[in-house]
Amino acid sequence: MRSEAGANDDHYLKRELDELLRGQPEIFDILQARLFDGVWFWDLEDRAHLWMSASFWELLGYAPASKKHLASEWEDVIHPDDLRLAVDALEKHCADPEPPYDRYLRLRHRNGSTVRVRCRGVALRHGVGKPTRMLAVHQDVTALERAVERSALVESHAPPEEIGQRKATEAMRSTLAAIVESSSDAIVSKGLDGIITSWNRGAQAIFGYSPEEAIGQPMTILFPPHRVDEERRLLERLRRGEKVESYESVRMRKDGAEIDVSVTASPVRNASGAIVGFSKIARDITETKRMQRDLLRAKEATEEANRELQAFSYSVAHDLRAPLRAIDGFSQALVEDCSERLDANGRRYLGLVRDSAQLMARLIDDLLALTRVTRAELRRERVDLSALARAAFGRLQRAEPRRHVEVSIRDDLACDGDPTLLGMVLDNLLGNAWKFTSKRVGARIEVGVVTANDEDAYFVRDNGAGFDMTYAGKLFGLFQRLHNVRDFEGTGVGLAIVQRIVHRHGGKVWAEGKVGEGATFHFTLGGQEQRT
Amino acid sequence: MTIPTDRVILLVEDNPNDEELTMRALKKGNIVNPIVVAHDGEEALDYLFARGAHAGRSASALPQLVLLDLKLPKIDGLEVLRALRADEQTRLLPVVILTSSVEEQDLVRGYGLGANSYVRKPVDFLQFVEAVRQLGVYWLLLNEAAPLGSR
Repeated sequence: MRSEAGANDDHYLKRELDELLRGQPEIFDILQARLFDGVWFWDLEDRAHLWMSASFWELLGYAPASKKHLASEWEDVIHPDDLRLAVDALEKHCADPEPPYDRYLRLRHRNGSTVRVRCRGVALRHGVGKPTRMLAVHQDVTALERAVERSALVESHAPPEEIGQRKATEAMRSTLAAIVESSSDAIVSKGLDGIITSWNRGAQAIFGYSPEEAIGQPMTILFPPHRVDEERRLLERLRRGEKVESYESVRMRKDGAEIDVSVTASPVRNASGAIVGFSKIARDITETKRMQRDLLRAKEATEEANRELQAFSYSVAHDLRAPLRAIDGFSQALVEDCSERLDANGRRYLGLVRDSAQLMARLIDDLLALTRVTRAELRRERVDLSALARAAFGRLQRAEPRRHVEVSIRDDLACDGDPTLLGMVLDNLLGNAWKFTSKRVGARIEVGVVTANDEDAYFVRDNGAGFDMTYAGKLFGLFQRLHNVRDFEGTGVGLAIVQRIVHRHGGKVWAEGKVGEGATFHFTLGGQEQRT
Repeated sequence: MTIPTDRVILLVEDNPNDEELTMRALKKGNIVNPIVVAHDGEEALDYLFARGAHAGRSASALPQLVLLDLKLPKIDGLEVLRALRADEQTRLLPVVILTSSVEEQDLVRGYGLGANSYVRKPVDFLQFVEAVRQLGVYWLLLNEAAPLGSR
């Protein structure tokens, strides 16, 4: 062991001490048993071996004879959190002996309690090689640490056994205080008289008063003049012990601005249950309320627009058709009653008048169908698409019994959706396929399903007139037609209806085609209703 | 085929063009029953309940069929229907709604109030003639009306 050279190295007592250490082994017993609370001596070359003094074990409540001089015995009693730190520090000290090894450790007493020790040690080496031994002493500091804790709680006058608990309570209290302080909600307390007694940072942010300005003031400073009565009623309820949970009200900031708040207030009781004050948590919901109002206004505007649209559609349905009936009906009457005064051209013109009136009637009907699709409530249920497709073909075939089309409909097409609207989708898509294969010998139409992007994509494919992909983007536009009316009649509304229905289901619709070779329409149905 | 010609058909129609076309269609459909036209809902109820301008009429002489438009001045078609169905005398009278629209709300309310049929007037006059002819065949010939006094 190194010794510090001092000015009094030649003192007679020092010489006597040197004598004692050299010649009388009892002096070590005095050191380990009386002056230290444990001594250990460790073999760094064979680290399993660790000699521990009797006092080491007596401090921890063990009979020294029951313990072996093994490092594992030491590891068994050291607090697991401290073991790694202690070993790290030992390694560091062995590598560089200059900083002394000096740590506070927790050891486990045989009775389960914790014994705190200060452990100071020194690595010993022969010459300049690696250290081969380590000598260390323990000092019991348990009582000292308790005394420190007690002095920290000097006001509490608590018996020592309560100190630990008080300390925990104290820690909890400071944690809670930090939470309260950091909350963006206003958390304030007031006395029985309604005078503000505490004021957190959130309260300052929301109401604009600093704690100095608010504490000592009545809570009514936060109430707009016309609502002061509310505070009186609130206090009455709180005094009766009621809790008031998140009710919405209006408060006034320091600058006079009124804000929407959600308030929770409850009585605060002391240990014996008596109400000693009230706590109040207020959240600024001005923004939320503003959004709610905006949303409500938007909803009302939409509803109003829908009502107008509905009234408009109703009027169109009734009033726009009547003149068309007159145009068609009287043109026909002219043909029937006055035909001898009309030449072939005159009769042809009247035919054109009637055709136009009827086309306009169809346009009106289709437009009304489109608005109905938008207005209709979307139901979701299991829908047998195969059956809908077969029914649609049945109608087409009955309307034109002489046409021969090779139709193939996959059997198990089922989906979740609105049966009426999906019926319209298939009517339109199959109606198109039927129409555009009308000039084709060996017409074929197929209804099936493929997987696209992990979704079922239903399709209707035909080998009819097809279309030029350049114009694919126009297909689903209202009144857009890619074919001449002379070739294929139509109003240009059908695919717009299809697209609207598919979108309302949250799905997608797209088409592929080639002029003269046919077209394929795909649609998916998504999982959720989309509002249009 | 011979359609009984003795009893009146009440046509409730405010539009003169539609009135003329309907008369023409009835004639083309070989329906020669006397046609009484009421030009609004009030007139229709006055006729049926023998009051107002029709006060002198015998209220028990009911038409065989009422062709009822929905959009009418004063009292609309659905209200006329409600009044008919609420009255003991007329509650079983066959009423065919003959109108422009097939708006779902009209269909639902029309049938809900006890309409016997709901027919949309087609724009194509030839189809209109065919529709009226079929109506005549069904309601004036095939259908056995509830006996008078069965109430």
